[in-house]
Amino acid sequence: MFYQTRAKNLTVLLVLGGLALYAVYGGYFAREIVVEIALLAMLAIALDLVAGYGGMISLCHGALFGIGAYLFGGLTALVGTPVWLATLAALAGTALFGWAVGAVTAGIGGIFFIMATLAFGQMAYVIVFEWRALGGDDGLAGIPRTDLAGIGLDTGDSLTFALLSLAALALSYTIAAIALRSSFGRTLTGIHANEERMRALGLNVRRHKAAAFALSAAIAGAAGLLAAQHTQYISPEYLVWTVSGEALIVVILGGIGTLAGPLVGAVVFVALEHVVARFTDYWHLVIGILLIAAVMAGGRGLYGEIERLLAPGPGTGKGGDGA
Amino acid sequence: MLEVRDLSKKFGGLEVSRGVSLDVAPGERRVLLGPNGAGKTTLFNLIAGTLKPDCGTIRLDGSDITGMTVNQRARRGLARSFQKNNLFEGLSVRDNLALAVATGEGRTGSLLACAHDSAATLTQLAEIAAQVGLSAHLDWPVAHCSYGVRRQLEIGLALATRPRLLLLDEPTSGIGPEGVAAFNALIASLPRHLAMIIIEHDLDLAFSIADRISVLSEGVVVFEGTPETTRHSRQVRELYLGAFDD
Repeated sequence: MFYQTRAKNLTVLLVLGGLALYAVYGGYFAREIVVEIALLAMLAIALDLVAGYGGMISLCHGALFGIGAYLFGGLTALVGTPVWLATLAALAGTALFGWAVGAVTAGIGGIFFIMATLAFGQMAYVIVFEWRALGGDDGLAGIPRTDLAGIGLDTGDSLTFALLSLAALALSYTIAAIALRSSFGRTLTGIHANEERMRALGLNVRRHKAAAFALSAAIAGAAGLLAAQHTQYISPEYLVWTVSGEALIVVILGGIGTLAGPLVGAVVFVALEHVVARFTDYWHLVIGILLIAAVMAGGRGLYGEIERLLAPGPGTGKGGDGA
Repeated sequence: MLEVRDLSKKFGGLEVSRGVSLDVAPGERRVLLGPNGAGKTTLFNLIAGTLKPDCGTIRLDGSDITGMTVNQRARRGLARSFQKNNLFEGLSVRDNLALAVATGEGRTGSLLACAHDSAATLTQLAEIAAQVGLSAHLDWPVAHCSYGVRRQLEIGLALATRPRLLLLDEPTSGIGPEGVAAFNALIASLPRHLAMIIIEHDLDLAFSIADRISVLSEGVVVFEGTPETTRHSRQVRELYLGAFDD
């Protein structure tokens, strides 16, 4: 059961505020890192929505991210579609793909569900990789950024883009939080807790899972299309399954089923990537050790530990709010 | 209201239902008796839609529901409780009931409003909780509840969807004499228009709550009648009650 607690408010505001300050005072390199964190956090929020609250551990969220990026990039760079229209199309297209994944995999449980989502992701990867018109493995360049000159913003400026990415992250979190607090989210938690019983109570579980996956996919796609705008170049690397794996690591490290955890996880993940990489090429090793520590400490993740410090007591325990 | 005709179901070579027919009138309380392995729970699974029959038809209020899914049948007013408690484990008693009430009303899709916290839901939730004796336990996490409380919640979840036909699978198993008395009172307090089929092993309870009794053995209905005729049926004694006399 999701509640936007004070601990969550505080965590989200601290992360967003801290990143905004870092972007403002940190120079170009800092702004690149802020964008990286913001987009990874959006992807992790999308994944936590289905995995933490719906019990659907997906390994195709990297592909959803990539589909968002390619729909936007392909439409703008190749077809010349206006940016606003390409944005809507990318969101709708990713949601549709997510809906299909959710609908097809709704009856599958456990490890087979994970494998089925992986298969969907790999299919998308292979299609993009082989599609010459999309640049194949060379990738696709010449992708424009949203033009906000009308309201006095220059998105070509690194600070503006970093702050816009943070705004997109805040919006994604808000949408996910509202959805989880609604009847829709409560029902999703019910499915996670006991799918058979929800069916016996009269719920069309497949339809609900598909809708949840579509919403999650739209958020992942939004992160992807912003990534395409950020680098103005995309490659099939976006859709590789290790991106999905990284998103899952961020979610578990931050705290699965907490929604605020993915923000914390993304900050730590990207920070470690950049800090540790200065000293050694084996920075994944450090992430691995942290991940094992987080799991062995009870699976609450970094946010779960923060919550315990702020509000000692029984808490949400293992597995966060997701039942 | 419920017409079951010639329902058969095989698991491999084992025939668990062999041409079962059953008619339940609106508001009727029907008790299913029969030894273990007689096919009682299988019959419930067939009626609720968890299992698909090999042949035969099921009609609810005149319309054929044989091809419908579990949730479609539930939306038509059919609810069930399970032989083994089948609850929302990580949640509180209140959240369990809220899920059942809101799902029963079909209020599951809104992305903005929360029907689970609405006044209408909470009123109905309080009513159900009072009926099954859970008013004092609403804030308890299900995981911390005793077996008896969980058993009451199991029935509460089924009642919360406001069904017209309720299937109760051994509702009193393992809850002791006090629990049985409370269950007896609960059944008596429920509105008369609610039809029920109850699988029950406690014969005194069965005779006191049933309008009619059906006895299953080896996948076949071997006897059907009022509690009075059941009590005196030689065939039933030999088949079912005899096992208790020995």
